[in-house]
Amino acid sequence: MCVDTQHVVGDDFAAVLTAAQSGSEEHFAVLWRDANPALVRYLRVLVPDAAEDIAAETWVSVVRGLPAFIGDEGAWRAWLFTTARRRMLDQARHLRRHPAEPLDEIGVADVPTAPGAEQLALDNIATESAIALLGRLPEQQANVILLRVVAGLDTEVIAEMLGTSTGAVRVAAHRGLRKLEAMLTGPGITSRAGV
Amino acid sequence: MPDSQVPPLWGPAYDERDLDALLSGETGSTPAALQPVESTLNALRAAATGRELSDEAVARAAFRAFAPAPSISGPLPSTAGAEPAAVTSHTLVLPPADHRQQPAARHRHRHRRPARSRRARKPRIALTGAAAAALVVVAVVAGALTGSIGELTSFGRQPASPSASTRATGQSPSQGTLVTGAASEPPQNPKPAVSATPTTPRPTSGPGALCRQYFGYAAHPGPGDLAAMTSLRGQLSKLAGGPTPVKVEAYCFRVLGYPFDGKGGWPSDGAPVGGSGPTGQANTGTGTGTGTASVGAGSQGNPVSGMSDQGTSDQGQSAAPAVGAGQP
Repeated sequence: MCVDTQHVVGDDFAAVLTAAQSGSEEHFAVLWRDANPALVRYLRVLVPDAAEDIAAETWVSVVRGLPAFIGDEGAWRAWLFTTARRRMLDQARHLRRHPAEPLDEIGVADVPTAPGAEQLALDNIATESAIALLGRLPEQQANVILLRVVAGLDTEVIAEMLGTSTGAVRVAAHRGLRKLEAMLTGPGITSRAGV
Repeated sequence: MPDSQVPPLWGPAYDERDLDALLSGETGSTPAALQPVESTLNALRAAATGRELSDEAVARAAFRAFAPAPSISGPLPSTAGAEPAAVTSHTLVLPPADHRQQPAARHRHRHRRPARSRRARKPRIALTGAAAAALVVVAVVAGALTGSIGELTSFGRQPASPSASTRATGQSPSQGTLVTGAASEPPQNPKPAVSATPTTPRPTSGPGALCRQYFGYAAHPGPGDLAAMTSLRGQLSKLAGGPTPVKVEAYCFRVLGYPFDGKGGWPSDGAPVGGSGPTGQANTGTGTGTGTASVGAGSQGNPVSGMSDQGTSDQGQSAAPAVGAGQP
């Protein structure tokens, strides 16, 4: 039941993007449904408390710049996650200047009740566990892994986003995976991600 | 075989290529040590949950607020992995007319209006200049006409030339005679009577006449009056004892009987001044040929009463013959 969220639009991406740039709300919704889950997961690992807010701000920025965007699906995702990263950094700066105590999290009540809800719930649990597990990695390593796995970006694109070299990106990703493997197989560490 | 020859079990059971394969999502040859990691990464790639798609309405609202007007409509491509049915139930679809007009309005305000070119301004500037020139011409013509008409219709104005003075003295039998200054001698009959000083010609250069001319110039200034007024002021200043306008006017007020007392109005040439009481002389325009406009005789005694009782009625009657007498 777990389906890869990458490249959902696929070959129709150019047509969908053109329609969205021309103002078609339905085509924009296709792009949003394609990219928003990965975006939210990426943000939930790095900024768990403000992931949805930053995602919303990211989409506002994307919508503003959508008519001027040129590129394929990879460039689209790179642009989207770059925008999200910038909004995330803005949020971090804002929190440093205006520290605040977060309110209690409102419970998630949008679990679908369609057939196969049990399996979806298990998948959600696995996803939640994976997100929590990656949240324990150093930020740079988690960032690189998420951009590779969730956003589906290449090493070169990630290096350009983070302002570093491709070698550093590869090293950070490998170190993160090893640490993840150590966390999953080490004593006293159990993960529901491997269920 | 000793156990020491068995290769050690420490060290990684995978290499960097396996890690790159994990990151790329390649499956099938994953080492056993990395299978938990593979499962974790697959969980990160799992299908979207309802929570992750619950904000589609917000995104659509943002799109409606900031996106351009649509121009393309067609079938939507199929999307795998998403949950369209569940999403649609959570989506608030607003009428599309709202976001059609909003960007257009923003664009209209966002751009400045182009400045008008100088070519467009030139006709307007020329038109304004022509209108201003026309106004100036009309003002000049109106001023000239007012001056000439004022000369004809001004009652209190008398030419300063001697010939004009003689016209006002009633030398001709047909001329209306202004007999004034007979305050001490009330008329005994309604006929034109000879005043107490009937033989005395009206001194056009006398103080009253000079004062009336002076006030006439002041009240109805016209072109060319400045020289006459200057000469009048010079004569009056000698009589008044000083060249200042205050002295001259005070003198004239004394001579004319304070015409601004609200009863007599403006003194006019030919108007009898002086005289006392309601019986003051009003022998006006009877054509006797003997009367003269004698001014100042009564004014010394009771100037105010003379003006108040006779000034109004005498102005109209006496002025017309006086002016008409000057006509050839």
